Amino acid sequence: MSDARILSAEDCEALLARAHAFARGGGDTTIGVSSWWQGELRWARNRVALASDRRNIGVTVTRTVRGGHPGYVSTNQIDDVSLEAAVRAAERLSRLEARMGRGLGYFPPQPAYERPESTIWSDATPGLTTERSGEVARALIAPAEAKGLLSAGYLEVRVAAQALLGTDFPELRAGKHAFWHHPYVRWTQAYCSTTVRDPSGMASGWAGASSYDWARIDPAALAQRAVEKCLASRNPVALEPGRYTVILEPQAVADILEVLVGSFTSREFPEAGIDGPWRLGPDEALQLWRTKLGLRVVDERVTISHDLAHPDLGILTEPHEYPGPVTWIDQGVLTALAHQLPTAIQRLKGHHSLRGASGYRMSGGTSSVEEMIRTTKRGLLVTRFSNIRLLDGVSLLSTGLTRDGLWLVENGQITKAVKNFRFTESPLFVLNAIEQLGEPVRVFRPMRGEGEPLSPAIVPPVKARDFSFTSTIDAI
Amino acid sequence: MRARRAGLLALTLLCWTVPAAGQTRFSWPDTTVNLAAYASVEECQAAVSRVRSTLATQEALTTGHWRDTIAFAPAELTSPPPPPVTATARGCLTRFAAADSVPLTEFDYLVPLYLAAGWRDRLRTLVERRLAAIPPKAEGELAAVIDTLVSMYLAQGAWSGYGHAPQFALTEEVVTRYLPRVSDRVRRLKVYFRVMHANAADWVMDTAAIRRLAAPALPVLDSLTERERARLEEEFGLAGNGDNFAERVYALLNVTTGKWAFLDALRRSTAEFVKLKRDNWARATGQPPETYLLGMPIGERAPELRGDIWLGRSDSAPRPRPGRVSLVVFIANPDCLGPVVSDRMMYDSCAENLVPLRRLAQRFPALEVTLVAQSRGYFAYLKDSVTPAREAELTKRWLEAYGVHAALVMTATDFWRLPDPDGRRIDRDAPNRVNYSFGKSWADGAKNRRAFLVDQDGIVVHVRDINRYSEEEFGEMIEILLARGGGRS
Amino acid sequence: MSFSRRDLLKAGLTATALMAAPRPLLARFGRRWEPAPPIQDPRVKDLALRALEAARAAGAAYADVRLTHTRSRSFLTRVADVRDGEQVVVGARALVDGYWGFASSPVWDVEEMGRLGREAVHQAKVHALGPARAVELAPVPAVRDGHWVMPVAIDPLEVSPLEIADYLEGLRLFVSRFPDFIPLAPSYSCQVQEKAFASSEGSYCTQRVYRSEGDVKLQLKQNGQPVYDGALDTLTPAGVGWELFKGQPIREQVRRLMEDMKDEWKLPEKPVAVGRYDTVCDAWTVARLLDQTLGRATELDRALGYEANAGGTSYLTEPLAMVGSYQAGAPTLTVTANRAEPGGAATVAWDDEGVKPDEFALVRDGILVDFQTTRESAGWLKAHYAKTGAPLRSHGCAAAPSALEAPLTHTPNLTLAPGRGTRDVDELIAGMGTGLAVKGGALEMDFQGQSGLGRGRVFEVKRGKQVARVVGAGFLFRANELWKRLAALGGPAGRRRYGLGSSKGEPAQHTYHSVTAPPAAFEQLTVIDVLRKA
Repeated sequence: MSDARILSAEDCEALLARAHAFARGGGDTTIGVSSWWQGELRWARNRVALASDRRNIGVTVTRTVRGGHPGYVSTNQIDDVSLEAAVRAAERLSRLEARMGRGLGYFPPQPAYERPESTIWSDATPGLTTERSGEVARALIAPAEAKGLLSAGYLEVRVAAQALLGTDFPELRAGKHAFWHHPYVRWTQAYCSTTVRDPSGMASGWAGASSYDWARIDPAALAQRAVEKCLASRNPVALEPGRYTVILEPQAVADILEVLVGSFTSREFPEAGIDGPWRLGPDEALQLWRTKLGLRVVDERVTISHDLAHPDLGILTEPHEYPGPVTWIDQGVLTALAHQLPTAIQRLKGHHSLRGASGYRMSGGTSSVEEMIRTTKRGLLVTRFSNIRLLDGVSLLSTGLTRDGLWLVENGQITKAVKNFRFTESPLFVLNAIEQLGEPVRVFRPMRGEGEPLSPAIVPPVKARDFSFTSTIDAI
Repeated sequence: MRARRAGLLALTLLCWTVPAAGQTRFSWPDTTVNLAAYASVEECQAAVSRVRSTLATQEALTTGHWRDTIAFAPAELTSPPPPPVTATARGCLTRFAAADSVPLTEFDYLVPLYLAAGWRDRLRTLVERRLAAIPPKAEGELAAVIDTLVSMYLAQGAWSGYGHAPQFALTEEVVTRYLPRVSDRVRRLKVYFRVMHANAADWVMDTAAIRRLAAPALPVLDSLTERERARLEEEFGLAGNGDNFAERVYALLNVTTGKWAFLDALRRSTAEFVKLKRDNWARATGQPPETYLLGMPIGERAPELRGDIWLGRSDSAPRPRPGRVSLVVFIANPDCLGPVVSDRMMYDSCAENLVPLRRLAQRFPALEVTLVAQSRGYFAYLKDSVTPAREAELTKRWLEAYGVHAALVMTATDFWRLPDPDGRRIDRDAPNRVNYSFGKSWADGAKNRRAFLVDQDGIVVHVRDINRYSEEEFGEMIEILLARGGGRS
Repeated sequence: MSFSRRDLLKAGLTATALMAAPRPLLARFGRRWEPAPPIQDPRVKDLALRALEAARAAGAAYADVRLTHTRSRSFLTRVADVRDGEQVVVGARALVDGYWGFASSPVWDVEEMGRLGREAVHQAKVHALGPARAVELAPVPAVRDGHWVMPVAIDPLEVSPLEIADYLEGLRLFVSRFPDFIPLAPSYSCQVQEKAFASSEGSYCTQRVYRSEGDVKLQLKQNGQPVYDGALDTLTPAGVGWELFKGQPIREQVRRLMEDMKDEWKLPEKPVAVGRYDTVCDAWTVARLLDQTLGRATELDRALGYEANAGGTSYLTEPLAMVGSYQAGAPTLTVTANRAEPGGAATVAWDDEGVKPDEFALVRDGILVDFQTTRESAGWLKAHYAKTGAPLRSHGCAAAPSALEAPLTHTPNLTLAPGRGTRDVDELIAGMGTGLAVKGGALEMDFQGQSGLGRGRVFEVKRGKQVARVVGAGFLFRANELWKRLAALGGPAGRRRYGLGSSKGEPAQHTYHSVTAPPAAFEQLTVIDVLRKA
């Protein structure tokens, strides 16, 4: 299905061709174009606060006149005159400083490979019309209102597309594929999350989901869940800070893993001796830095993997990303780190770049959350975390808050709602203190910028020992 | 179907009309710079260096050549600043033009700018003021100021980036006029050495100036006490390749010996050339002659190159071939022969070395150039099917694209990998690399881009990286060796 | 030149033709392609009015439209690193039966104006089918063709980029004169936004708003290695032009910074001794404390739960009951807000609802007296205003980064009133005698602007002097207690203004505002070791 709310492949091709034609003065040109549409709905206090329909375009022009420096400008206008003005402006910047050209030369073409088709497109997502979203909003709000609670939330459907075409190193081109040529890709995504609060402000519950496919999001279930959490959060008691066994719902697991999955980027850093979680130490004999690749870094029940081409996990926007699945942590052992193309060519076995784990899947176990509760003598059940900040880049020690539902579990039963805590803990510690794992499920991922693709996460609930809560907070 | 038609319509509309003007403007203010509003010396420094770099840009854009790949011409370094540079410096310095009253705190920064402005008389005034401001007993300060001034004039050290030509006459003027006021002999000697060393650069070689400067300096050198020599060595250091005492003294002796004396010695025989160098080294440093100049293997027998793949070799005679003047060049730079990351990288690692090499090879057809490489398992983006033979072929084609036509020897590199999942490839040194390290501790003697000049008898005469600055020196020596014919070492 | 009626009619015909097809994203100004005119051009007004007409015709009780043209330029020291960006967008907003709809796009042309006006109404109408929602917009005098240009000394886009690059490189060279310091590349970036606003109540105004910010960072080095970082604190975002740098005593500031860095580095390091301490915070830290506690908590929409699903709510949990009586801090605490403040990062002549902002108190003598409001949210305080005899009006806090986003309540420029005396941070430290000093603070807050964890450069103070650097220290606080423990405020001369960014809404909108604050002393803050687990 074509969607006229964004630029089509043909539109983008024509636009790139037009923009390229404006280049004067030789050298190289790279033009990128992106286009997005978002249908959005915000509600609060049980009423829709704003419904919006927004779209924009982004064009980035990089011009390197012969002998010049790359000049970079961006615009959101795609008429000829604006594009030409942007190209001229980039050329003007390019002439401000000189750079050596590539000289003469011959380089062999890149190895050609089949780029996997990656579609995270669902017609259901742009198919959520304004009229239909009105009904959805009422379905989301009604359960809370019926209980005398206040619902707030956000629903968004988006379609977006991007393409990029450059002229650099024509001799390296292999068929349609080159690192400066990102063929047209488009995607859909949908977010829905809701917070239900007691009018007294003394209880709050949350539920959220995100997927490329609106049809996979069940608004009624989300509303129900948020209402239940809110009701169960009433009359919280303050507990002493300290170490607790925690039962982390999948959302909380994803929240605290964020800094860990972000650390799988750049194998080059630990290999260059730069401080970080994956640097091991210098190897004097070989004159290189050893990394923790191959070492067990977390509990052996943990496997964290990713398949860029799988619609549940992400989207390929650049053709030279690693085309196959990747396992970052395999049964507790660190097995992969993202790297640049030259690193693979010069030192490793492949010839690909490996993007970081923007989307990922963590392995699980067979325990349900209910079972985790049943088997807990004393512990805390955590809905999600908020306001997380990394404190130490080596240990990944982070601080953050519990939010929207925290309960005390005693002798196998939830006994009380608990006031929120600030925690000081590292995801590496948590993954080394696992007691039980549940079935992995898709969770809500933090929103990214307008038009950017979704990076999904599939994680299990986790029961872990000795989670460090450092102070109580008043916020609900 | 309907949607598809819509897409077509959208496309049609995009191409529908050629507009006269668009919505965005990208207005760019007049790039005329209001220099008169510049309030600080540093802004003027920034402006002058920007204008210099712009001129280089314009030159590159007009000629299509980047200066650094054009053969080095001494005139580059002695020509006066181009008019736009002078104009910028003068326009910017209005607040700092009164040499008799500008604050002396700006002295270090104003000197290069006055040079850029072409203000020699003001410069003299400024220098006079600066030196006059030194209290009579502050000899340390006086020596330091002269030392700095020499650096500035000669565009050395921190001042090498300012882009002005070395000012030999001004330097000599300062040294002659003010240096005798420094009574500390070691300090004095340091400055003399520096200036003589600068005058002894291949492209200057002003022997008259050197003799003038040597007249007061040599007696000091020869009458140094143990303690003074120890101080000199401590302050300059004897090891390393950089700015050190040994090199300076050595250069001084070379100059007093005369560059032509070396070349004359080489004309007679390699052995005599090597002996002269080693003797000077011993005299300058008090070290044994065989420790000659920082471990360069001059006078050693060049090992025969071995390899798995030979390309562009007309026969199977050993290389370096007895009876021929040879240049053995190690080519292994991964940045030059690897995946393209940036233009700059390719320049730094390819053109800078390959273009001067091409010129040398073209100038001396009788010179036998051998390129030494070892396989790395990839070439540019190719990896899957790259055998050492294929790699050799691709490397040769790539070098030929830079105009370098020569025999290439490729060693299939012995390597292993760290266990998975690390999997990093660890190369073992190829025999050629090991052999050309001559079993010495400076085992990286045969590193990338290093060239060994070998005479007809297989003796190493000269070792340096190939680039535009070493090009002329190589040229002179190759010329002599070729003229000399074989069998005279 | 302006549109003739016939031009509009012709354009209308084209629009009808286009309506039949799914919307192509064409950029076009007027009937013919035209260069974007300066924002005061009457044709821009004509465009704006087209959107309003369409919205009204479609049934909007109220509508407004904004057109923004944003240009940005950023520099590192090298001129080749200049980045230029430009964006032209338009957004229309409509109110139907108490429900808001919004539509925006990058296209400034006649048909698009009509489409956006209608789309905004359509968005609102769908939800107006549900339960009723009452909206009372606080009255605002209509602005008849108001035009305003933020007064800046040097328009940054009118200065040669080469001059700016030379200046920044000159600054780097200046720092490199000092052998104990490593200069990091100074940077400068600016944004010039022209915007037009029109409302169905007859307002039309245009303005050009500037924002500049920069960075000068350096490192103290020892044995060639960087050991201590520092940055100028005078270059945070502000409503100024290139005069952010040019003509300022930047070099003196750098020299002072170097002295401070050396003095601080010389102090011995000390581990944290957990406990309670009297604490002096510098103006930087106080500005952030104010911003992230009362600055967030007095956004009325947030306090009422409109941000519950995003950044959170407010510790002022019952805003309508608390206003006028809640003890927000010590009697010395007075906080005012003003988006008309000259040079402020949130400064405008009219907000994104055409309201001329006023100066108003949020906290007076320790009592919460008002909230940050828009036209809609001011109405929620109607009873309070009636009781106190204050006029029902918006304080002009409606803002959005551009016309692409619908306006929300964003923090205005804030000012914490200084103390009576003339004390600066050093005198406050001297006056405290024993305790801690926190400088360059950064905060981790909760989602109600209540509980916080502060970090920064922490010093032990003895006999009125900084005697040691306390490594890894942080302080925990609760906003309501913190402001009640306010022991002393620095005098007017010790005040500093900082431009701060903040995020709000879903999807997140990023805006800037200024916070002016003096240094302050607090009694008995809880100090912890940040890196220590429970």
